Amino acid sequence: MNLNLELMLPEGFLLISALLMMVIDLVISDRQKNSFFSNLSIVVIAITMLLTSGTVSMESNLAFNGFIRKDLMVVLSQLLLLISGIFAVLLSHNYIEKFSLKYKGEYYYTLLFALLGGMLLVAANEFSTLFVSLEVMSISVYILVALFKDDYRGKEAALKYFIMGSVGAAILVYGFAILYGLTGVTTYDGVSELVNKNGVTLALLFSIALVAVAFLFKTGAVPFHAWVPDVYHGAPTPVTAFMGAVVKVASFVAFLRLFFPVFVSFAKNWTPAIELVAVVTMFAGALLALNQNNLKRMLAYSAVSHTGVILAAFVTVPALASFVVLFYLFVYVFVTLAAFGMLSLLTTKGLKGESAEDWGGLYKKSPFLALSAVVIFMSLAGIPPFAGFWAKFYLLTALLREGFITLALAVVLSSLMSLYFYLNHLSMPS
Amino acid sequence: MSPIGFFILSALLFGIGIFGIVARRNVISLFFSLELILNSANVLLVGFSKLHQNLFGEVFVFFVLAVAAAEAAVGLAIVVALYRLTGSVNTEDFSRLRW
Repeated sequence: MNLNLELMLPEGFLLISALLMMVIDLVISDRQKNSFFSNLSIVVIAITMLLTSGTVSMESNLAFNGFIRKDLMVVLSQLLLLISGIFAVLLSHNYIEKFSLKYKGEYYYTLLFALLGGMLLVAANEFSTLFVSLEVMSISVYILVALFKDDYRGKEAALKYFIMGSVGAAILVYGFAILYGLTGVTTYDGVSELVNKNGVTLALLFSIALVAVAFLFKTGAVPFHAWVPDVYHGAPTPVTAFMGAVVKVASFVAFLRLFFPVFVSFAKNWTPAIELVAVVTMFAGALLALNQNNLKRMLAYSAVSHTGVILAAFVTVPALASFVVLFYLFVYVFVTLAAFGMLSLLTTKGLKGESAEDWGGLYKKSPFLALSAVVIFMSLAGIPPFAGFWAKFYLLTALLREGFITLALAVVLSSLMSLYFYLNHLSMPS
Repeated sequence: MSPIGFFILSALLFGIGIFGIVARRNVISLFFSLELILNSANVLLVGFSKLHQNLFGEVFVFFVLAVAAAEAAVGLAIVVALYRLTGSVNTEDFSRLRW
């Protein structure tokens, strides 16, 4: 049993810097706040990235008596989270310049706290750590969504997100309580050992269902997707980009890291359910996006559809699944940040850009932006030379190799359906 | 003493909480129901902690309590901000985000 505090250096640095920013916020004049804090946040995140790269190692190390595990997958996803954090800060700077925000310092350090929560969430190796870091991330994001002044949409989105997210978290704790009751320990290693020894029982399946429901809430899979369009639409666009990237990556990696070490020995009991949810999610997202006029809502439904595709990768064997999911998330994060970043840019330039009609004639006004829109949408749809295609390609290869032919067909079909609405948006007449 | 009483209490609280989330339209009642679900998990954790004769469950309860308090603070702040803009705490009035 050992603490291994040096492994926690990046998280510790991020936490202390965010706390210091709360103090600096008191002494700095309001006019300088926006540029000062955005620069400071970028520096802090960059240093955290350097420190995180220092903890890369091929074997897995435990810290805090086994409550935190750091292996290659954790460190890579932490770096991915930090990169998306930098992009979110860059987007926020211009957005805050344009729209009035009274709490500039608060915005940036809340964003850093959300990043910290995400970093701990992917590294968690114990139930209470997982729960607390999930809530650190979620509560910070609720604040970010609601922070802008006189912004009714943001407040409504925050309330909806808050209620759905908190119900998910409460259900998660209930599932963890049952798992603790079945095994008497709370670390992943202890639980997986005892669960394997005791075999599959009804109570165990019930607790897994509760935990899975909580994660499906967070990732926005179909029976629990109702909040996604409202929240993505209502939130300020840089925060939407942050949610689409950081929250999604952290929840998916935590989902994967909880289910694969702990429940993998009876995977055949729960993979059919995940498979069903995945197929329903990818088709529902693609169908609901078809006649969306608002671009943010369309991207939200496309995010739901992508969630389904990522969930489909969960049914392949452990090694393949972690690789495929991580690679898909890697590509998805950059494309999502680009899509919402472009919307944010269009809004701050006064081009509106949220409803589809505003896009007519964009090429005449700004050819570069119009071309990037084409690249981003083609990448989201998975057209060959772009990154989105390679993510889907690896996913399909993994599915075919494990013999899930119908699932692979479903992925291809839903991609074709989503191609329709991406192209529909691109072909708006001016 | 057998911990069966804890389990029954916890299941009841969980059921009432879920019912409240689904049936109620007042945001404050929704918060009550949320706290009920969280506390049903706490009761369950304490009961199992007694059964297993170790303290993991009891410590977990403290974390859940702290998080629930933070969550209630942020949630009520959001409701106050919304009440200032709309003058209502009924969820049916918060449905402008469409299409």
